[in-house]
Amino acid sequence: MTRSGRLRAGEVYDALRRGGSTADAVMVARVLVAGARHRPGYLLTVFVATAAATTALAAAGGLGARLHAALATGDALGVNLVVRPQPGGPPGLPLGEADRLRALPGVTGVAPWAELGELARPGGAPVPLLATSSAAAALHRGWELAGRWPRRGEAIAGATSGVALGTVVETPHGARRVSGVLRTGEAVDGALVLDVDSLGPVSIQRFEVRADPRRVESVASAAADAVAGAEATPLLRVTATRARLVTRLAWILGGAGALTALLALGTLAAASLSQLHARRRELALFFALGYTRAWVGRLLVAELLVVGALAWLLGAGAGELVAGLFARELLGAGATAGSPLGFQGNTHPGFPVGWGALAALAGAALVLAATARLTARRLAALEPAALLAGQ
Amino acid sequence: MTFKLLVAALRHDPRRKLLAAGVVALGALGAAALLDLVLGARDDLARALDTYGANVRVTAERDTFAVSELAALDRIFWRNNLVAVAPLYPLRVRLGGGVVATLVGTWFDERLDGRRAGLPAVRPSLPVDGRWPADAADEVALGRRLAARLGVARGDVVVAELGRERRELAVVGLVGGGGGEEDEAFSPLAVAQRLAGRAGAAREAEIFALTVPETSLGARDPSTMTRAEYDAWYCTAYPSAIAFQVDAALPSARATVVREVASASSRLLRRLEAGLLALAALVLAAAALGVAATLTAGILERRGELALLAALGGERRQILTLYLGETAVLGIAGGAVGGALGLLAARAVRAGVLGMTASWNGVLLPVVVLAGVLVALAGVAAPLVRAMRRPAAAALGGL
Repeated sequence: MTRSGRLRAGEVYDALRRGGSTADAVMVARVLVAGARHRPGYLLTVFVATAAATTALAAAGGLGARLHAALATGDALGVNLVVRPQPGGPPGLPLGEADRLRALPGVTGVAPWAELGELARPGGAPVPLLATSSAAAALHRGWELAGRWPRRGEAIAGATSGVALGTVVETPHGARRVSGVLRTGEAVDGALVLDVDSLGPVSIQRFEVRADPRRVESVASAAADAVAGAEATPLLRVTATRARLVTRLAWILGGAGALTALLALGTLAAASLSQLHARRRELALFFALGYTRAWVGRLLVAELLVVGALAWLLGAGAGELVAGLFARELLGAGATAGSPLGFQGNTHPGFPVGWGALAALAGAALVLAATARLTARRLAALEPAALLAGQ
Repeated sequence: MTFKLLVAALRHDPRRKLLAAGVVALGALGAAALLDLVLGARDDLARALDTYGANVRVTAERDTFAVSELAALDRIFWRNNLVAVAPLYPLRVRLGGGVVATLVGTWFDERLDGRRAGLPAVRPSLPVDGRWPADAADEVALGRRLAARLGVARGDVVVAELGRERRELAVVGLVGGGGGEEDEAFSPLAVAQRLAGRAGAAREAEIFALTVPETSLGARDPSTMTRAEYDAWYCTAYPSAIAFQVDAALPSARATVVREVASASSRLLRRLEAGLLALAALVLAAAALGVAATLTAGILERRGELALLAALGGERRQILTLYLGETAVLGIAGGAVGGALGLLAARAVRAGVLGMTASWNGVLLPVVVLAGVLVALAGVAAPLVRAMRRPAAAALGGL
């Protein structure tokens, strides 16, 4: 160490390249502290720009991951598996199999459906008679029931069945008073529906099952094994729609993420370049004192790294927080349950950092690397004497 | 005088001006591209929901309606949102001499006023092993389970009987998918019409329409709406509004919203739309902050210049006008260039990478330019006022 306690340029260069000793770190810290005291605007600009960019990246990543997870695991699409008697076997399955299906891991809802023939109506078309449980109303969330789910001695009528609320209808299972009118927009609108639990032993033509969307195939296989004489088939229109939406959303989020990263990169690079322009005389002074371009370059990179790391911490935390808040408001509680920073639910298995924070780290690293490269290029073009002369 | 000063200021130090305009342009580029992508994503996701099923169902008022009535769909307000349509004629027939099952007569590869029409269009996720029947042939596609019950395979011939009518149909495909279709048979509409003895008729139709999430307005009975509410509802692509117009266009049929499909689409689209917009807002806010930070530093550096103007007798209002005017010009230039480039880039990405419709969202450009100006002004206003508070002598003396 020479020249009134300063490190030689080559030593600093080597030290920075090696990762630096304690003395080097102290030196860089002193330069940083002095810089922060005398020209806070520069560091503040870089700090704000990095923090803003990191917040955007972390929030975009975090919100995107939650959006993706909500779509991939959500139950918006309803029934995704149907269990029916095998072709060539008995025409129906026992109602008791519903309990066996409900007990399977990954199953969240089961609705049995029995076809009980048709009711002849004087002067009108025959009305199909069906039976199911109240689980059907929970699985088909768009269905609208005016009135209440039938109790013993009651039934619900489809909106186009021609049977009005309060009417008493004679059925092979006894007289039933219509306690509600069901509006679905589907064929069941023309039927009379009884509660399956109010009937005696009845043969079930199909069980509608809602399974965890990520494991429909394995639940189907388990269901076929659990119920004798049954086949279980995933409902392709639901699984295909989910897969299609998840893929589309991944592309869209990927595009938005790439744009965000570009935006962050550009903003930070512009902020750093404009500041370098403002500091050209100060840098010329370093050169005039004998410091090499490489040393000055390393000092700038070290400054950027320290400020960038602090800004990343702030931005990553703030971004995750913002993503969590937005997700809770927009996607419901399920999408954000977890730690205060909302890391749970959007993490890589076994890695306790949110995707958003990871995206922010990658983005910030990319931005700083690009800025350092641009800085080095610009430094190579500076002429110390001309700059100190004010030209 | 102020104008002359403004022109002179813009000419001075073009590199710095270029950098400031470049920063705004960069922000505008990202903002325009992101907004375009997010707005396009809503339509793209709505279109991707066609695999989930038709969202409007038409049933005959009495027994059947004339298929030719469907041509009236081309005259409704939301005709361009009707993506696919298929007439259906379900009949309970005896197949193979013994099994009674539902045979659905429908179109497979027709066009209705340039629109895709047929079962594969309204139920695109329905898989068929083999092929769908040709519309003019005596062919049938059997549900997988029904084929197993009948003991027939592709290439066999199955006889369909209804009363005295009898048709021999070649089995050309087996239909899967896990739904009720596996227990049904699908043949050309003309086959079902001949079996039923009702030429040119259908009993049902399915329609897939591009819709927007239903709101509380959409869920209301139109007869209870005020004139203004009715107009707003009618001119919004709610499933209920489209079904209402389809219903009015078909005199012998009733159109209803398939509630489960519409409700799931609404829930999904509302969530996705809100999530994507929040994403765009967050990113844009951060970009604005970054741009503002860069411009702020530029103004702080020009404190000496400001002080000189003040020392030469420049009024506060004049100086503010000069600097804010200069910033506004840079904001407009940067916003326009960046915004236009952003929209072009987004258009290319949407069409090339994402396979979305490559429409030109020109309306976004003025919005982005205005945002660029506002962000630039916001970035310089506070430091400008702060710099002007500093005594001129101190600023000029470098104190």
